[in-house]
This record gives sequence, C-alpha cells and structure tokens, in this order.
Amino acid sequence: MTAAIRTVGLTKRYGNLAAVRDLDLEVPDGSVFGLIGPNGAGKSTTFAILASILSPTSGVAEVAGFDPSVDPRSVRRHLGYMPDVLGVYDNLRVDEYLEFFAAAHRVPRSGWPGLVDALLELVGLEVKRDAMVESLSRGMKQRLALARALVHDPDVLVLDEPASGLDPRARVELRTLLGELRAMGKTVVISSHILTEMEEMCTHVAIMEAGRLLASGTPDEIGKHLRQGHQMVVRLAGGDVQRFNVADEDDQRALLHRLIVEEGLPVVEFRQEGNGLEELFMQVTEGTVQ
Amino acid sequence: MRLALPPLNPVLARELKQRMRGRHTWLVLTLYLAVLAVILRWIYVVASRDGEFGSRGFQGSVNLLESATVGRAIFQWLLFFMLLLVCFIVPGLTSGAISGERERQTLVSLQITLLRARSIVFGKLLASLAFVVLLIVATMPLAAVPFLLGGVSVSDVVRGLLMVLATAVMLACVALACSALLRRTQAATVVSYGITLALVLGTLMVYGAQQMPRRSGGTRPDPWVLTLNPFAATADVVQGRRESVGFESPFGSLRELLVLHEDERLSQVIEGRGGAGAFIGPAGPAGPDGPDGPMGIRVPATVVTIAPGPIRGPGGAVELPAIAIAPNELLLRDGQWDNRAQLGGFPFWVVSLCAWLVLAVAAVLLAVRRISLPGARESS
Repeated sequence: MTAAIRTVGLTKRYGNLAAVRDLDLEVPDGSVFGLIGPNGAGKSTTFAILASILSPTSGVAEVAGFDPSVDPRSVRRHLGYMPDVLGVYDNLRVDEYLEFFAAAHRVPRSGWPGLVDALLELVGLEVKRDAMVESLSRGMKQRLALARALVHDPDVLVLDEPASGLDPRARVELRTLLGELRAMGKTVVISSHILTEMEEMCTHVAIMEAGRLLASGTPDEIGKHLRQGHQMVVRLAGGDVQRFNVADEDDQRALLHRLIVEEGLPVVEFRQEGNGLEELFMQVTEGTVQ
Repeated sequence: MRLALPPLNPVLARELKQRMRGRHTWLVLTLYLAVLAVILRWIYVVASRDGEFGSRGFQGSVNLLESATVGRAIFQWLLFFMLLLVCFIVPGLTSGAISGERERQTLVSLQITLLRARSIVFGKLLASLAFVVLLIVATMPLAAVPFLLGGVSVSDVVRGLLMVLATAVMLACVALACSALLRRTQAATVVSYGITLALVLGTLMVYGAQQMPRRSGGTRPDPWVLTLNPFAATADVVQGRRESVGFESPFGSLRELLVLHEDERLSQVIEGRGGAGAFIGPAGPAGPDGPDGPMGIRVPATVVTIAPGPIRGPGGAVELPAIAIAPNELLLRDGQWDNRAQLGGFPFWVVSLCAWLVLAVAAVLLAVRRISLPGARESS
C-alpha cells in the first residue's frame, strides 16, 4: 500500500519552541487517519505544513507524492484542507461561496452547477443553497467548509478538529460522512482531542504530544501494545466489585470463563478499567505541556 | 448570444458581488455625489459673484469670457474636491482588503487554492478601483456642467479625471500593501491614512523645510519631493504654466511653486553664463525686441535658443549644460500640452506619474510577497 502522506524527521521551530519535533508519519492510501493529541501537541502545525501553509524548519513532508514546500501548487491540487476555524464571507449565498472556491481552484465554469449540487447533497445542505453563508449555524458552516475542501475533488482530505463544537447528532452525521468519503476512495486525515469517536471512525491512529509522535498504528495494534497487564473490573450480583490483573486478551477470556463456569459467580459486569482510547490516551500521554 | 469574455478574476467577481450587496455602498456613493453637488453649487455662486455674470445669469447678453472663467473655476474646484474625496475614500476602502480576510479567517483558505498570490492582490486592487471608477463615472454629469459655461475642453476634463484615477490607483496600492503587511485592519487603516497624509501634506512640509534660506546660500533644491504629491501633479496637468485669470484656482499656489523653481533656474543659467538680454521679471510690456514668453520671461529676439547647446547672442556663443533647462520650444510655445513645469528635463507631471508608478509597483510586490505561501509563520 502506498502512502498518501509521508513525513520524515519533520520539525517546526518558532524560536526556541519546537511545535513539531522529528515527526515520522505514514498515512496509508485510502485510510481514515486520526491524529490525536492534547491542545498544543503540534497537530495543527503538522497539518499546516502538509497543506503548504507553513514551511518546515527541517525534515521532509510528502503529500500524494509532492513536497508542499517545493511544489505547493501540486499539493494544493491533490489536497483538501479544512482549517479548525471556519471563515465565511458576508453577503454571499451558499452556492456562490462554493462557486467562488471552484473558480479559485480553476474548475471550469460549465462544471459549477453540477459540482455545487453534488457537494451540497453530500454534506446535506441542499435546502440551504440560497441561504446567506453568515446565517448558517455552526454545524452547517462546518459542513459547508467540508464541501469547500472537496471542491476540486482532492485525493487527500486534511480536517483539523472537524468534530469540535458539534452537537452529538452532528458528530454522528460527520462520522457517516467520513465513511462516505472513504468509500469514494479518499484518504482522510483528521485531528482531534476527542478520542472516543476516533476509535470508531479511524482505521489508523497516531498519538502526538509536545510535538512528538508517541504511538501509531491501527487502534487495535496500539491497544494490544498498551493493554498488556491491564486491570479487569468484575461486579457481582450482590454488588461486590473485584479487580483482577490480566496479561492480555486470552488471559482475559480465561479469567471470565473461570469466574462463571468454574467458580459459578453471578457476574453482572465484566469490563476493562477505563474505556478504550480515552484510557489509552491518558496512559500514553503524560500531560506534558511545552 | 454570450460574449466569450476571459474568465473574471474570482476574487474580483466575488468582491463586486459582495460590495454591491453591502449596506454602505449606496450610502458612500450618495454622500460622495451630494458633497460634490453642494460644492459645485457653492463654487458657482462664489465664482459668478465676482464678475457681472452672476448678477445677470443667463438673461440678457452673456459675456462669454466671464462665462468661461466661471466654467474653468467650477472645473478646477470640482477636480480639487474629487481629489480630496479620493484621498479620503480610497485608503478606507482598500485598507481592509487583505487584513479583513485575515481577521475573518478566510485568507488561508484562499491562499491554498490554485489562485496565485498576485491574482489575489490584483483581484482586491481591481475591486477597490472598480468602486472608485464608479464614483468617477458617477461624477461625469457634474463634470459636464463646466461645458455649459465654456472655458474647458473635453481633453482638459479627461486629463483631469485621469489624474484623479492615477491618484486613486497609487493610493489603493499603498493601502493594499498596508493591509497585507499589517495584521489588523485597524492598524492598516491608520497607516494608510498616515501615508496618504504624508503624501499630501508631508511632502509640502518637507518641501518647505528644504526651501529655508541657508547660511551658505547657493541654489534651492528642486521640488523633487512634490512629485509624490497628487495635488502638485494635478496642478501641473490642469494648469501648467498658465496663470488662472479671473478666479482663485485651488491649484494656483502649487503651480506657482513649480514654476518658480524653473524660472529661477532659468535666470541663474542665463545670468551666470552671461547670456545676453534674457531676464526674468514681472510681466512688463512686450519689448520691441521680442514677444513675451509665459510668466513674463521676456525673450529678446537676439536669443534664438535657450536650450542644450550654444546660445548665440551678441556676447558670443555660450555653452549651456544639457540639464539646465528644457528645449526652448517648451517655453516659448504657448501650446496647451507642452506648456508644463519641468523637472530634470521632463514635464513635472511625467516625473510625478513615474514616481507614483514606482511606489505602486513596490507596494504591490510587497503585498504579493507577504501573502505568498508556504511561509515561515502562520499569517492568521
């Protein structure tokens, strides 16, 4: 599998502060890649370098085979970027907004009507076609921003904090949307500090902190790697809670079997301490702030 | 049938849409025209009161000369106030062009499209200038009033309006550079108006300081600094060496400054080199030996040329340095277009436009460089 995005030793410094340090990332083609980290971990800076906004201090980045600091225009042709802040224009309708960005991406004028229809349908904003952009709600603006990033049919989508500020319903819709984009064969990279969703949405996950990459791989891989020697919480019908240390998942299954079949205990709850990525995240990161 | 026009700059197309939907656009246009109309009426009253023309109006016999004088007065004052309004409107109109996008967080989205930085800058510039052109076009009916009265030719009006447009272009480029270089619109607006003020009043102050008498004596420096002044160049284009007769011209004193230097230079050259017979002074009665030149430079018939090259006079041939003064035709012919103040061997207004061009190009290049990505720092 080829990589849609690859970085080698990517570093960005602002004076003495290193926002990104020696980052080696590889985003496989067609994956939904989640970059997770606390605020200030360097996620947005990494995205800005990939989107040909910032030039790195050192190291190499590659998007769809092009280096954003050497050939930014080729990168821009293949990459759709949605920033974490949503800028909109006054006195402009939704369809005009998308047409403007289509024009800016050199999409021929004859293709605009079909393109705008398709994009609005994809993000579910058909009814808002004639609405003024500034009148949209936050969630709608977010979807419009996503449509904007898709105007030139990019192979790679980079979405900076797409789930921030969305209500639960909008988040579910976003997840569905990401699935559709993946089905269209696009590689999607999203950043977030909300972890529980990433687990369901992403095929690959990387965890960043203080500019460094702490772990990367599929959620399962990271999980297996980190869940060695974790604790299981067992609650019995009487209300008793017991904790057992297990080495891995086989050990975990054996434990459950022993408790129910051999000892005949009335187990009503059998769960792992913490909940998935959230717990993982807490384990991996140490709350280091630069 | 649709015309096959080249695709419009997307930024320009969007800005025009937004501008014409904006709440303030019609207000600015209305206020601008209202102010000019009031001024026009006021000039008409003042200018015609001075002569007999006003008291009689159009009834009875009209003195064509007086009517022409009123026409010229109206035209020049109108142009003066148009220039003044452009100086007020253009920086405000343009200084938010790029910083506004930055504040609205839309600039980055624009920068990472396939639009080049120069397309963004030109789109913004053209959007501002389109509105200025609209203002100027809207002024046309007012500018046509002098035609009723006479004293102004079509080419006078066109030249005057082109100077207003040139001023607008120069100021817009400067304001746009401020907008690109400074983060906040507020700062960009303040600096743009500051630069405009420096160009209009600052240049005059620097000029004044340069002209202070010095202990060492010597020649006073040429008014190079005034080339940056929009009013000085327009004064040269509108009036040239002609004196306004019969009314107070808003460009009168600037014109005198420009002409003064040239005349001084002329007298120094001629007196210093012992040129025969030429002298500078108040316009006296034409001597028997030659016609009066403009500004009372009486040129004796014996002096055939005042030009680079030898002067042949009774005192013998005198070599003049080439930079000293312009070819004599420019001075002696009382034509319309050639009759301009000179600086460094070129008409003042040409030097001025060149200076503006340099300023504008430098400003645009700075702006383009500033918004080119990828950059070392995030611009938002």
